[in-house]
Amino acid sequence: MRFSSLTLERYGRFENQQLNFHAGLPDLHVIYGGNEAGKTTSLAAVSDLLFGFPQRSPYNFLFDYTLLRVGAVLEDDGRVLECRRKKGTSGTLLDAEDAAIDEAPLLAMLKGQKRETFGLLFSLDQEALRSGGMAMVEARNDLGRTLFAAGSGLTGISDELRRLEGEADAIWGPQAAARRSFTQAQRELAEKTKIVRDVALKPKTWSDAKAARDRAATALDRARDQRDRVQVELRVAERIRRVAPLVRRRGEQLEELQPLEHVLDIGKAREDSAEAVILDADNAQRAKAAAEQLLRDAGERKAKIPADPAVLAYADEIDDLVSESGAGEKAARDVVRLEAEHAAAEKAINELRTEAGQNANAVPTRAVATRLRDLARKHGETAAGKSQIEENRAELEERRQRARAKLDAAGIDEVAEALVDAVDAARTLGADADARCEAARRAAEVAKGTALSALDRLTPWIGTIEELRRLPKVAAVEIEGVRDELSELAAEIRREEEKVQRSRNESAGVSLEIEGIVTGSAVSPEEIASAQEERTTRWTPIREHVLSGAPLSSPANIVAEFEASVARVDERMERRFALADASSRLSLLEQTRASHELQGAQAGVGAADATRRREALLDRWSKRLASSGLPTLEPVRFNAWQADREVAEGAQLEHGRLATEVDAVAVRRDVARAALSAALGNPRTADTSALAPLLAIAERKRRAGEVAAQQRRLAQAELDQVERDSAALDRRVQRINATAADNDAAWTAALAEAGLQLDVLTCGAVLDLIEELRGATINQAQLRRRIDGIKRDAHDHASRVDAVAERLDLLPSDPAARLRMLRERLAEARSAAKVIETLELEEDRRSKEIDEADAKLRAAEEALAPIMRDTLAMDRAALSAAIERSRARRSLFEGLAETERRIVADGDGLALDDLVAAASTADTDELSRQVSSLNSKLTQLNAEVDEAAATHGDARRMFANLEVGGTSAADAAADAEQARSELEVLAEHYILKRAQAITLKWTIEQYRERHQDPLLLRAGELFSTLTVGRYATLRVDSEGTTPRLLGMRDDGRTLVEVQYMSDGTADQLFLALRLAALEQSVKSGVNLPFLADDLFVNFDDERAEAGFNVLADIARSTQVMFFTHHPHLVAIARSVVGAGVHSECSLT
Amino acid sequence: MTDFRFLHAADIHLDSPLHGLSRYEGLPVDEIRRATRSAFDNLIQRAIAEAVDFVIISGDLFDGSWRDMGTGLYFSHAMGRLGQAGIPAFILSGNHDAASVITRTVPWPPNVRQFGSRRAETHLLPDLAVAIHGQGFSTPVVSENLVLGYPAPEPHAFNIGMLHTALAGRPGHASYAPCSIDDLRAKGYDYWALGHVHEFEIACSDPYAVFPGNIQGRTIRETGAKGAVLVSVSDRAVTAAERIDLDVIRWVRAEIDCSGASADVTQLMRSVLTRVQEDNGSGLPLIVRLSLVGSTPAAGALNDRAAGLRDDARAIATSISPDLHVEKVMVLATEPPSATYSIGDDLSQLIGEASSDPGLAQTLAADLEKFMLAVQTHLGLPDEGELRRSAVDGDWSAVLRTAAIALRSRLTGEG
Repeated sequence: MRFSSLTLERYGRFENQQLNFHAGLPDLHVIYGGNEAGKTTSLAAVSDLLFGFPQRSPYNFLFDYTLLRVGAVLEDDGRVLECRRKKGTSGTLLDAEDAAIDEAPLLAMLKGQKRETFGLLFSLDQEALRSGGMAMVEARNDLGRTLFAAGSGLTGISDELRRLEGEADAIWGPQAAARRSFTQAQRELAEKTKIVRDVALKPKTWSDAKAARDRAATALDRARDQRDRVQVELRVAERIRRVAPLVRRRGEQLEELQPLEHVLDIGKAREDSAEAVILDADNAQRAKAAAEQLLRDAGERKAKIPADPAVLAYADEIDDLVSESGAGEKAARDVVRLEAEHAAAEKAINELRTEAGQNANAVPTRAVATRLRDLARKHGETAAGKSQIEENRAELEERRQRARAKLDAAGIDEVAEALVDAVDAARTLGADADARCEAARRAAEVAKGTALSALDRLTPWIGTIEELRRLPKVAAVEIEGVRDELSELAAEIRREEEKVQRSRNESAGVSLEIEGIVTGSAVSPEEIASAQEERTTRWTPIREHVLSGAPLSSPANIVAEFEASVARVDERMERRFALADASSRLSLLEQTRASHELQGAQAGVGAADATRRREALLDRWSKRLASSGLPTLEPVRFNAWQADREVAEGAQLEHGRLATEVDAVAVRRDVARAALSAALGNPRTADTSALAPLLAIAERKRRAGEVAAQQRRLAQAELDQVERDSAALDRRVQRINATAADNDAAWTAALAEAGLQLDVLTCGAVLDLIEELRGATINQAQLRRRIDGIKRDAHDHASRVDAVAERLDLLPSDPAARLRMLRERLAEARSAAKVIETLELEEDRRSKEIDEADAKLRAAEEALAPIMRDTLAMDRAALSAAIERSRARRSLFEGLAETERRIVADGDGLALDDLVAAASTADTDELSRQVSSLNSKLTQLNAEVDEAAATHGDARRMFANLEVGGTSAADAAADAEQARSELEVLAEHYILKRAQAITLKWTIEQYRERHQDPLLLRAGELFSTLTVGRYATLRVDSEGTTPRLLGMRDDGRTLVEVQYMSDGTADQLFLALRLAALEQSVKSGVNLPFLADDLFVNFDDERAEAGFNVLADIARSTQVMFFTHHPHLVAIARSVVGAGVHSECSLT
Repeated sequence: MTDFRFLHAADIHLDSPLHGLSRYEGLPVDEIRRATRSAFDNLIQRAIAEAVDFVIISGDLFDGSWRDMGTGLYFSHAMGRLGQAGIPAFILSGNHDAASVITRTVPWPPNVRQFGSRRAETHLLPDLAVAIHGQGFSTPVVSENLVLGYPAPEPHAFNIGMLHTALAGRPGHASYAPCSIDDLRAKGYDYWALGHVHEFEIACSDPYAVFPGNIQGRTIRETGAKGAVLVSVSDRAVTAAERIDLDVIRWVRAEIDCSGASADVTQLMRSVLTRVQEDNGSGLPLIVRLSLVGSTPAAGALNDRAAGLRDDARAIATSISPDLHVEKVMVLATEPPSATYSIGDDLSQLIGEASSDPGLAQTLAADLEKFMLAVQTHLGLPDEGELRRSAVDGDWSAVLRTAAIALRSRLTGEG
């Protein structure tokens, strides 16, 4: 992956700082910036772009976090990724429009590198170089491993190891921890095992509880026995005390019974019935005596009352007469009033007849009278209609006068049709006609200016628009063809030049190598012979010692000297062989140099040829343009000119279109204005071209004309209406006159039929009078008939009274008095007859009562006869006494039986005799004392029983609880087993994880051991290059506790430890190590840009040049960016890679 | 002619927990805790329902060191229920409950007859003309042939011999009270009610010598249906010895052939578990051990993901049926010899070499020393095929071989 450009849009002190890194080999770029120019910032920006901003970034001092942006164009294996980065937690990778984009393409380019591994391997400053290098040299901490890992291409391998160890640690560790699953299961197991132990029901616990229950039961039984015994004693004593009073009472009752021993027991039922019969007999006797007395009294009272049967024979007739006499009196009073009414009626009739005059004798029928009245009403209606018509006629005349006046006032003012049309035409142009006209004119002017300036832009060509139009056009294809051809030729020139440079460089390198071989010193055969002679000399004493036992003065020294001499011989022999090898290599190298020089010369020729072809092509192109009158420009610029030309032509067209539009608008406005002016009769206005003022005047005039016409129309309509109303009125007059004539004819005919003489206006009153006269005559006749009837009835009544009175021998008197006497006599006779009847009824009732009492007495005596015989009683009194005695005896017997029953009831089931005998001999006081003592004893024993029962209950409950056979222990055991199972599984997992971790660790170590050598070899080469041959290579000293890295000097013998190297040399050693690891990483496919931050500060110019050579070499396989603030380093870099391919950026 | 029926059971191991099943969400904890009691309840219920004439339990009522009287009382109450139904029960002690303090302490209801352990005894059921002979274990280890001391058969009776034995030896069972079929036959009994072997087996049918097996499987070694034997006798001849199931949870082994499969074996696990559930005609909850077998390049990944596989399998089982549970997932799959890795040949080769490096084996042994000690205090001897077994046996290269293939897969995968 490489950066094509890096843009610090807003980052640290930078705003839109862009660094471009053009492609090409070597892909080495020097970024120059003075102190504080922002090299470190740029380095940080690269990391932030690739891996995202850290949570706290120090680069927000100018721009707020949310505004920070870094952008870049990245290339990788033909893919191009243009991206930008903002700060945030997600979706921080953006496109040009600030929209989030997928990170996957970027991640693919990063080949699994993280910010940390990238920092270690690909981004280095002086400090990191030192600390990292030291760590590598000492193979200390993870850095060494990480670099190794990076070198092996397995970037995540140490993460994997950490993960495995973490997973194992989450299961188990030497220290128990609650977070570890093994510990959790272990605790669960311990806890459940403890529960099993604690809650399991031990057999002994169970047996003990059972024994305790049995003991308590025995104690309870014993206590109950004792209590029961005392309870029995107490019951005996209390029984005797309870029955003793009853026994005494029994004795008394037996004594009382003795005198009544021979009394007859009649039996309760017989006694009760006998007593009821005796009571009935006594009652009957009393009732009979009372009835006999009352019978006698009634007879005496009846004898004293007088009777009148004669008058009773005429009773009905007398009653009728009495009722008639009331009606006769009322009729006599009415006759007086009726006579007065009759006289008044007669007088009224006479008065009416006088008023009626000649009509008094006419009697018209009711139908005729009604018709007359109807005709008179119609006559009135006709007269009223005529007078209404007259009023309407006057009102119409008034309306006609008013309408005529209005019509005259309105006058005649017609609006000219020409004016209306002109106004309408002007309106269709729109209210803003003037403004639009002006706007169109201005737009046309602007377009004209634009067209002119477009024409100006066509320099160096100069001319008018017409000349421009006449010029021919060149096709885009043609231009592009020439352009491509030119750029191909340019590229070819560059390639050939590069080839020249490369051949020159390679030739120079080979020359250097040749020089190195030439300077080596040869080994002479004499030198070898002398060394061999020395070896023989040193060997002789040892040989003597071994073969013949000759003594050795100091064996160790002698042996050491011998070994040294052997080594010297070997060394000389090797050098001799090496030199022989060198001379053969020398001739090979010289051939190589010649070949490079030849290649360089060929490439130079190629470059000159390409340059010639390019110039020829350019010449042809210029001629082609000039011949057509077109400006002679390079294809790229000509393309731009042609585009400008099209713009100019377009602007000219636009200007023409707008000018035409202005003319059209102005013509329409002028036509409208002329029409208006003509219609108005050419009035004078301030503006001679504007349409609006004229239109205003015309519209005012048109409105006034329209108002007057409207008023005239209204007045004419009113006049027309008046004429129509007048005609209608005339038609109504004719209809009314016809109706009046018909009425008059009917009136005359009706009068003749009635024989009356009447005026049509007064006919109502006369007809009413005739009607009244007829009513009065009928009323008078009715009164007369009633008076005559009343007088006839009074006479008949008097004659009937006299007839009855004569038959009953009453003294003569007027009928009213005689009738009063008759009525009084009848009332007295009726009262006496009523009293006699009542007394006779009472006599009958009393006789019946006497008979009933006699019957009852007889029945009682019959009923009592047997019992009286049994008791020898003579009468009912004696019988009653006998019954009393029988009852007394029975009561005593019953009392005795009750007492004995109670004794037995209280006797706890013992026999009566036993109880009586026991009670008779008992001493009451002694008995009370005994009961009291037993009671207190029982209380105590009851308490003892209660206690024993409670103890027994507890023991029984406790045992019963144990008996339930609970499952807690079994449940806990099941849970413990589950925990144990979990432990088994966890143990499997743990063993696997640990075995994996240990295997992986071992593998890493093995891998490192096996791959260390290539890494070290390459680092040695680089170190030699960086030290300009001062050091030959690197060696590892594996003796001692830890291996040491040593530098071997150019003499091939001297080994120097890092701490004894100068700062510069140590830096070169560290850089060699890092670059070797980097190379390995790049080889394995992880080719990220290498960022070097002023790594050569301790390098002298010669070694800095060597450093750039190494970097340039690396830059052939991956991009290298070298940040520096030393101008001389920039110069060195340029000289190393050649000015042609040198890439340089500045931070400003 | 006397017809009667009796129920022959053995190895109840009442209240001994199920082994090898760690707890997880969805596991019916209560059912698992009460499994042996529930199976025993089934036995009692069945005896009452079938109205058998008596019940025989040939040893190992209780598990060895179990000291909870609650278990004994539970058993006693259960026997009481048999007593109420008028069914006598005959028991004797086996190797597991020989020294059990429970058997010594619990007061048996009157319908229970326990055989002594000093010499063979005989109990008679005169109404049925049955004589039952037996001798319990006095110690957990009885190595003499007890049959030789059994009395001669009662004439005119159906003779039953109760014996806790492994006969001449049965795989997975300690060889206690050894004897041969000929020894049994020589006694002239009509039925040998044996106990000790947890698998149902009719060792001989003339005369009948029957192991009823235990009544509830308690480990993955005790798979399949478990129960007792219902024996019908007519006129002193066995007319039927019918196996009846009493267990409440069943153990099942299922293999998943991963040959050529990828590391994602979810679908395979689902189809195998579904098949197991479909084949379960009993309707009882199942506890399944899944073994991943076959040759697959993903063997390493499967080993590496062992913990996750168990969780996956449990989730799948739960989704198939609430009565399907997974005990363990054993990864026994192997790598094909031609396996290749994308981590670089030399690194892969190095990992391969690791298992044969003696120094590395020592390092691993030292690394795991403390852990193995910690494990030893809680766990018994591991099963064959477990890494812990290899570790205990000192076969470190076996451990490293498994680790190596897991590690390779890990590095090729997300590493």
